[in-house]
Amino acid sequence: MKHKHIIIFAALLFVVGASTYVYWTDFTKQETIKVTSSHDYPVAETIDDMTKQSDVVVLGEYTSFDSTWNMARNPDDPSQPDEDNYTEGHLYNFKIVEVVKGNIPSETIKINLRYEETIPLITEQGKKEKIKNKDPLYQKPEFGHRYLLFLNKNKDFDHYYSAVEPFQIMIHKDGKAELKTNLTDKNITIQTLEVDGKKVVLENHAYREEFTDRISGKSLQEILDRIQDITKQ
Amino acid sequence: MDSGESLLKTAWKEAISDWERVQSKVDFSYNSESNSVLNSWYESGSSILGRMTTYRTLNYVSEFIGELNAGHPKITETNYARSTANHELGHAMGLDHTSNGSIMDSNRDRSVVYTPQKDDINGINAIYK
Repeated sequence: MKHKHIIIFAALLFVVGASTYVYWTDFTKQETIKVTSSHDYPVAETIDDMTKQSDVVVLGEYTSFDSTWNMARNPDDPSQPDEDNYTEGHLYNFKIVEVVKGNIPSETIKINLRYEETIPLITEQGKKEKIKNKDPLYQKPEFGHRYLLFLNKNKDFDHYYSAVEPFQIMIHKDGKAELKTNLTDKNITIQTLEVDGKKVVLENHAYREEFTDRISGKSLQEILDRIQDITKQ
Repeated sequence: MDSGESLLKTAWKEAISDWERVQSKVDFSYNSESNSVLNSWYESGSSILGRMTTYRTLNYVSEFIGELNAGHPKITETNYARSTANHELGHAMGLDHTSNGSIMDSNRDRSVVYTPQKDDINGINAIYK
């Protein structure tokens, strides 16, 4: 009886292994389309640059997720979504403890975080497919933690968004700062997909060569003092 | 090149001229049948000024789609669109981001650095020997 079980188990293992090998061999033999996605956005390494590029700087906490929306809009009427493009934005509610730079009349604001875009894939036949590309700079906010955010006001809608990358500094309970960013050396995210029978390798280049974190470890007070000095200039 | 807002279309044309003036390894030509396009889209509430998607089937870029963000509040400021268009064409030709003040540096002053710099040209010459 024991031997019978071993034979059945070995046979199953062989079938699974052989199927995986055949599938993987076929997959790797497929024609590969390498898609590379790159974006141009302002980057800053210092509190000075982050402050100069921001309309407002606020200290507070993310309190809840609000909603998703299409950031791609009709250029002739931005109140309407773009029918051909989709960029998913995630809106979060943010409770302000202190406005460090600029003027904000309300105690709670909405922060938009760019989450995902769809990009076209052109196949050999010229057919256009849409593939999803998660924003490599997206970081899900952590509720119950204090953040210092460097923001711009959206001119089309009543919310705020990242003025620069990085734009979020988490303040720990001991008052020390931690820069929150995915913008580190050689941060290339890679996804492998199968579209229309073809292997698609999607690379996302979202790094700045030799990016240096000059902020983590500083005290909140030191950062606030520096922002005040820059804002007065 | 697709139709679009004239300022952004002009920026793409200037960027093509800028790159053709400083290097001789890559030529650009207009072909209405091409799948490669230089265009614009309107993304609201975003710090992104431009994006470039390239497609390689063998080890070279066979097609690309470059877009300038008409929804970015600074795209209409002096030299911003041209600087972004030159940056995106650099990606189309195979350049990555740098940190030396060149057109491929995300931390450049876009009102001042809006054409390919020496490091960008060296990069192209290194790729296309």
